[in-house]
Amino acid sequence: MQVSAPPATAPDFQGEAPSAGRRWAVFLLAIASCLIALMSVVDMFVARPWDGVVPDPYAAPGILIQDLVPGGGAEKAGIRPGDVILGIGHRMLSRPVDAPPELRRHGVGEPVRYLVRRGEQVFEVTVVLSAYRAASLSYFYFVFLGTLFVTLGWFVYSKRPSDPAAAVLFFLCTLFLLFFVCRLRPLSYYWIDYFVQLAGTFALFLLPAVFLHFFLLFPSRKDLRFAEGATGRTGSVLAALQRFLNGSPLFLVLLYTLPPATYVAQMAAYAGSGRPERLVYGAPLLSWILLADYLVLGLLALFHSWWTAPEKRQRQQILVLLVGTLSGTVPFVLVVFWFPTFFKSDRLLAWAVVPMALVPLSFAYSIVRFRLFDVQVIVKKSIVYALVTAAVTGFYALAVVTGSRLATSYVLFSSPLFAFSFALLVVLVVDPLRRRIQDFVDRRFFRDRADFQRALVEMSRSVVSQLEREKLHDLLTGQTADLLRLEKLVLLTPRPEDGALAAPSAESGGGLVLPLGSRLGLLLVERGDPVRMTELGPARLDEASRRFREAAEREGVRVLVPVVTRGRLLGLLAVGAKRSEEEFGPEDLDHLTTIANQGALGLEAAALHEELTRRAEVERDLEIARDIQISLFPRELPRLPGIEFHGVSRPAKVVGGDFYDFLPFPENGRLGLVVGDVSGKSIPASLLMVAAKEIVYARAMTDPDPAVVFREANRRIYAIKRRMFVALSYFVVDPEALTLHYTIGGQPAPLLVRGEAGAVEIPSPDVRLPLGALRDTVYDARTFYLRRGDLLLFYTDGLNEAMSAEQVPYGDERLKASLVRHAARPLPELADELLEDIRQFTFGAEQYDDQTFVLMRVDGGETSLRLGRIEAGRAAE
Amino acid sequence: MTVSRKWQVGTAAAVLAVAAGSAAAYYVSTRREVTTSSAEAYEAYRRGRENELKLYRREAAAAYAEALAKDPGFFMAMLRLAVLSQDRDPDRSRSLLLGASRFRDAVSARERRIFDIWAKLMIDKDVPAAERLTDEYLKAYPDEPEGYQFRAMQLMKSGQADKAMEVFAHLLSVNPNYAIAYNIIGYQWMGRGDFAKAEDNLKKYRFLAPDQANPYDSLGELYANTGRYEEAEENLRKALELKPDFFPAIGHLASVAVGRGDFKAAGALFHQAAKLADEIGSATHLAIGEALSAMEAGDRAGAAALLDANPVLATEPGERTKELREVVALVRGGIMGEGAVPSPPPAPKTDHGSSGEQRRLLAYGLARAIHEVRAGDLTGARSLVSKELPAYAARTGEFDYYPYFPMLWVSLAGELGRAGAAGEAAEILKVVLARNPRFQPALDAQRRIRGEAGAATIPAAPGA
Repeated sequence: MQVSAPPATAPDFQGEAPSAGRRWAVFLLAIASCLIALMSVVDMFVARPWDGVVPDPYAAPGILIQDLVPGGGAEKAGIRPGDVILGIGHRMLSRPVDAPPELRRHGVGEPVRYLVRRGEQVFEVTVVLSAYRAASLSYFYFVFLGTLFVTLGWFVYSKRPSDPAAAVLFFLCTLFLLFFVCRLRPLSYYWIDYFVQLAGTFALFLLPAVFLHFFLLFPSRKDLRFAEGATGRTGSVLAALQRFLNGSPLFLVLLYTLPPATYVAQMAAYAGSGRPERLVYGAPLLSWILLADYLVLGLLALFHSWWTAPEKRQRQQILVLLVGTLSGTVPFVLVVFWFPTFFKSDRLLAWAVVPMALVPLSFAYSIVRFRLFDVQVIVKKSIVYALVTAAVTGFYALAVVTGSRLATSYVLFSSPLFAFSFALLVVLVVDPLRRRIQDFVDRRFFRDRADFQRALVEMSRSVVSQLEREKLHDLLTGQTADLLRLEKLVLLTPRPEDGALAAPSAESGGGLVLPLGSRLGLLLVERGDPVRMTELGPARLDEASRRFREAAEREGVRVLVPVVTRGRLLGLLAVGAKRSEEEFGPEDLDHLTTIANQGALGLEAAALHEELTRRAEVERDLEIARDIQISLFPRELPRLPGIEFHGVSRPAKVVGGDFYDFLPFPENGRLGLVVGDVSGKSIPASLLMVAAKEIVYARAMTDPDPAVVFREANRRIYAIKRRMFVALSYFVVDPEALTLHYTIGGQPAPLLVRGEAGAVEIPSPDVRLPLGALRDTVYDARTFYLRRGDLLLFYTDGLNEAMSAEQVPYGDERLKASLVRHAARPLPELADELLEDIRQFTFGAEQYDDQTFVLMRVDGGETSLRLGRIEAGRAAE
Repeated sequence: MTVSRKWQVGTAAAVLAVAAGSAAAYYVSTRREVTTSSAEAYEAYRRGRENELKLYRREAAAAYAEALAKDPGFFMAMLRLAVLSQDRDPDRSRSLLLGASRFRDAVSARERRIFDIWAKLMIDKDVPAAERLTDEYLKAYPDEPEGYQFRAMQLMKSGQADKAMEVFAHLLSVNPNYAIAYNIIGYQWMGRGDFAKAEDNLKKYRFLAPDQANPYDSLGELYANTGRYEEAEENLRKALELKPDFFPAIGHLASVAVGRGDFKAAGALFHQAAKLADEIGSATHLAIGEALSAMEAGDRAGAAALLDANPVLATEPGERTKELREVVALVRGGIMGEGAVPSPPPAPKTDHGSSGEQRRLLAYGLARAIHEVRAGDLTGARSLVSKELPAYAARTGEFDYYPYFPMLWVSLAGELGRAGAAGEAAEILKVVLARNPRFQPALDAQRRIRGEAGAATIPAAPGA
């Protein structure tokens, strides 16, 4: 026969939500059982007048005395075990339950007449009633055990109300409560006895059936497969039997009715045959054998679940239950069923019940340790610490007391040194002992919680360190859902197109869209903490938020957790129900808040990372562009007889928009000098610079007239249509004629230092518009005659318009003064000084514009070859 | 706060259930088993019923009379009083019964049924019809102990003692605290000679009704007739403590005195008891006891005078007194030897085969045998010893205040001893002493017979 057992965590447990009728039935069952048990307990602990008689509950008519409490009124009156009490207090009695009303009519210490039969003799005696509480120490234990069972059952059922196994477990625990509290009680001699004993007997009859039923459902519903492969008539019979055992409600009916039916049939047979009944604890032997068989079958079903469990963790979990249940029930079955049957003794009954505590304890252990029934129990460490400390302190106290006793008992130990040493030894032992116990408890009971916390920390760390948006998304949804055992978790993030918070895909909450600026979004940002859906009153929401709320309810969302940082809503976690169906407790919300906070950091870090990546890419591009731009500046200065050049360009950004270059005209020995300044900075400016240079060069190669070059270049730069202009000066130097033929577009006119006259601007052409400003600009060119000793500064406006920290421009005059001041110096030094002067003026301020200039000195001799210097970097350098 | 509809309905249902329960409880607690408009009358009736069950007939009758005074139309009080009066005052009894019949339609079905049974018995004298009605009553009210008691008594009267015992057993399973049943059962066992069972039941009776005189008296009677004189006296004195005018206890103390052979004391006690007796039968028997005690004490003339003054002779002849007159005549002729022993009058058909009839015939037989032995004819006596003595030995539990039968048997034994039939005499005394080994007249007779066995003649009996 095959029995398939799906894994313990399979959704086999997930039944439909219990109907109202079932909930009421369970509730009423619980209330009724607890009331009956309470009645029994109260009855046991209430002091009542009693004669010290322990009656045989089944002997009738009269009260057959099974035993007498030593020192009780009956014993003092000379009544003996085996006597039959025919009447008490002038009332005849048929059964033990008739006695309570009679005893109730009397008080403690009151003499009461008893009519007693001993053999053939009937006599009257006077019994003085004494106060009596029927509860014994073992009954305390039974009550404790019953409470343990019913607490466990109720706890599991309250956590898993839709799980049929949980409901059956609760029923089973309730029956255990009734059995322990109502059936295993000493007789109190009151009417309650009859009532509660009846309830206890009822429980005893049902208990094995429910026990078997539970283990047919737990940890998963047993699916019997023994008919497969069988053919013919046998096969059809087996198939019918298989269907009956697996799905037929009649099977359960049979399971539950067989014990009472057997009992009734047996009793009827006794009555019909006239044979004396052979009853054990009030039931025929056959009934007990049947009930024991049920228990054995239940244990076999549990054993099978253990044997076939596919995973190690499940096997561990079931093994704990198997060992606990076996250890609890086997001694019980042996002593309670077999001893009275075969040894005619029930003296060991109380002891047989002791191991039964292992059954609920093993379940409780499995719940705490393995989350049995998918129920999470968080045991407060502080409580456990307190308990351990109390236990160890108790041990300490006990040890000290024992030591003191020893000290007073034996001469050898009476030395104060011994007492001191002993106390010291105990103190030394206590702390390590406490720590060891605590470690053990931590390992055993808090591992799951520690694992959970560790996983939470790991995940938080991962969230913060994860810079890829998609992986971060997976972490925040998939892993969090697994960690917190959620049915669903969706992270809504801003949509690029409109900023509304939306799920990334249609299958995971695609209908959830929270528009930017909605009332709910503002509320969530304002609150900053998780919000249960039930807390969202529609009245407080605008239309968009209400639509979102409805959609969220359709999607089964239970809690909304804002992912907020510095008042900005970066995202929203829409949290579905917990798999355990438990409500979200404060601890769950704390976990969600932690995860959302970590998520906010993660999302922000991811955004920053993306920005940095983008910037790094730009910078890398700029580096390349700079290299290219540097490569575009002339590596060697031109050789012209009697004229010396030195050029400098210091861009404001990595890549500047200024440029200068020389165009040699070997056919006539002239030299073209271009100084340009493109509007804007960085790559676009530099690209335009390159373009402008190439345009100018291309034109200049065919026609050296600066005006013509400018006209053509203007037209082509204008065509770029980017509203970018190029301020450009084009000078053609004739070393032989010592002339400077030039056109200036949007550039300052070069400064001239001639003799002691200071620095002046050379005459400007009439049209000085930058190239690209207007489509058809007609530029004119001018010619300036040079003299030996002239020093010219061709520059862009980055020099004279350099701004100080106080936003004061450097100005033409300062530039001229600086030029004059350092005019006598060699050109490279002069260039350095010019820049130094500007740097000193703009100290602390950012360089807003490229600073480019070319120095030219006419000395009549051979121009020295100097490498031009391009200064790169920022103004701060 | 809003309350769901389910809760509202549940609460309303709970309130209704509580109200209905309270009303039912009130109805049950205030319901009476008899019809009367007066609470005081009902209280008196209840007292009367209690006294009746205690066999305090006089007090019971007084209480019923009081109830009737409070509520002249009190049907059940009238009926109970009629039943109680049927012996002492049959006319009044009949008149009460007829009076009650006027209210028959105004009472409950149960009361009607009880009335019909008594009417059949007392007015129509239709015993089978009364029995049938009793059976119907029991079917309708299976938990009513009085019905079972009534039925059992009817069965006893008709000689079906075993069936009667079954009915009593059932009665006690219905109500194990119906005290008077134990008394009747105890007497049944006593009558059958099973004194242990009789004692058991009488002790139960005493246990259930320790505040009543009758249980002590019943046990006292058993002890008195079985030679346990000390226990008898203890119980009888206890009965008199509880009810000093309880004449049966005094009568049974007289029985003890007879058993001890102290006839003088017995005479005084019989006299005292006879004066207190509240019905003619007991009074007659007690008076006879007094007379016979006087005779046994040697005052023959006094005895005769007492018999002449027997209350039954001063009473108008009725059915019951006729029977009692016969007893007096038999005693005079038989034990006292004042004349010929009369022939037994024919018994009613209903009595044929009954224990009463057997006792009556035995009494006549013994009286005649004593006369015959005195006349020298031993044939009848020997026949009686061989035939009737075993039967008597088998039913040794029928006691009277004055132990007629033991005394008759002892007289016969004395006469037989004197006539030389020592064997038969010894046989008789053995049977008498088997029942009461301390029965002094028998012991005396035995001693005389043994001491004089060798002599030619035996002194005449005191009455001879």
